[in-house]
Amino acid sequence: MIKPFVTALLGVMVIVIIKAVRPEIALSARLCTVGVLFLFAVSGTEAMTDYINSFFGVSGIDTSYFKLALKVTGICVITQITSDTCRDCAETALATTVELVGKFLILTMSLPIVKSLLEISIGLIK
Amino acid sequence: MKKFVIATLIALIIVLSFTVISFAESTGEEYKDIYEAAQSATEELLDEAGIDGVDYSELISLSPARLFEIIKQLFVGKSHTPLRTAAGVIAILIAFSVINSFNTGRLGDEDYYSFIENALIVFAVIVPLSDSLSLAAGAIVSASNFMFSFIPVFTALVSASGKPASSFLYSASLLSFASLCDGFCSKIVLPSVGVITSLNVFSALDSNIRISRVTSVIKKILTVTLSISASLFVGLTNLKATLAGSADSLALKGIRTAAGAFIPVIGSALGDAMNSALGAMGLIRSTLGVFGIIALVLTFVPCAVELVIWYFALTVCSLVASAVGQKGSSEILESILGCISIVNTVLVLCALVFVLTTGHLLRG
Repeated sequence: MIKPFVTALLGVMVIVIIKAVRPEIALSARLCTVGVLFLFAVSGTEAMTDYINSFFGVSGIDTSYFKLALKVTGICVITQITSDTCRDCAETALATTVELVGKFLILTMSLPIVKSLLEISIGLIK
Repeated sequence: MKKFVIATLIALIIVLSFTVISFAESTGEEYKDIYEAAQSATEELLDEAGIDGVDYSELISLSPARLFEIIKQLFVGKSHTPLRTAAGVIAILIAFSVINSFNTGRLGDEDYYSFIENALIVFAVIVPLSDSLSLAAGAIVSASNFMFSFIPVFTALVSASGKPASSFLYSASLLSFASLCDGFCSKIVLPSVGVITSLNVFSALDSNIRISRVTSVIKKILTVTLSISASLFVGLTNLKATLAGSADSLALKGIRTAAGAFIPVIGSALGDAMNSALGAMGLIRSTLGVFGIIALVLTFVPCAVELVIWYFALTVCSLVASAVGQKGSSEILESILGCISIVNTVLVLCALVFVLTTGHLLRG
């Protein structure tokens, strides 16, 4: 249970040491630490999503939109991490562009929902 | 003398040979038409209640226990879809309260989560609920058609039972009310509910779009208008019916007095015979009136029961939404609850107006 936190602390220590000695590979160390911690987080959510999927299955609601919500969550998290990494490297413009790309991807993924909502509205009015 | 007797006999034979045998006209055919005018679902409920037609003995033997059993079966049968939908909505609310914990706040992702959550709730609720609302609209149209068949026959019986003025008033009032049900309720109120529901769908797109205040105002206006109109209609009709009843009883007394005074020998017997005939017609009138009330109520009961279950199920969902901090979802659910209560109000008022007006006429 404390593995991720220990990993994070060790990663920070390594990055600080490497930054002092070889700053050019500190970014790689940072990205490796982030990747390992991200894997820890994803493995923990699998059981939760299975449980929620089973609950949706009992109630008869289509799980595709819930999966879409999880994808949006994933995009948000990845976009946030990428943007913060860019800011850590003093690349603010790149960070802003990454955030813009993330928002655009989320909007594109949401278009089928907007289309379905409009169809329902038109059906109700008719 | 002999010729007179033979002539009399021949005359009697000729008269008896060419006479026509006549009977009183049977009224069974009109009752049968009224039973068939009821919706097929209503006929099934009437069969379950032990009513196969307009029969005094069947109506008098109708017990509250049997009616309670029918309503209980309706509750059990109609509760599946609303409760399943409520379970799904609660699952959505809990799932998104978990997903919201990943909210970083910098990308505006809270709005995206809110949008997807509200869209899911709309998909889960609107599609099955619109079936129930369509059934309610169909019930109002069926009830109007039933009233169009029932009222002319009932008013004929009311008139035949010695209340011509009351029957004319009842016919005019209830036929106009039936037309109003068909026109106003099914063509104005229910499409308005459809528009409000579609506005709820749009409000799912953006949490800044708040439709709940609009729907609550429309709901209040419709409820107050319908309640006042129904109260005025029933009150005025009953007042006029009371006056017409007094006029009818005065006319009857006048006829009895005139018969007793101006017809020799059999005048009072005619008056008593008229009382017996009017009493018999009154029994038929009451039987048909009670059947009409029961049939109309059973036309509305299945839809009303289903909407009541929907109302309670979605109220629980709204409370859960408030509890997990999903205010936008709670407002959407409150707006949908407003639409359900509007339709239920229309159903209840239509039934009440018919029952109260017909019941007043049965009392006299």
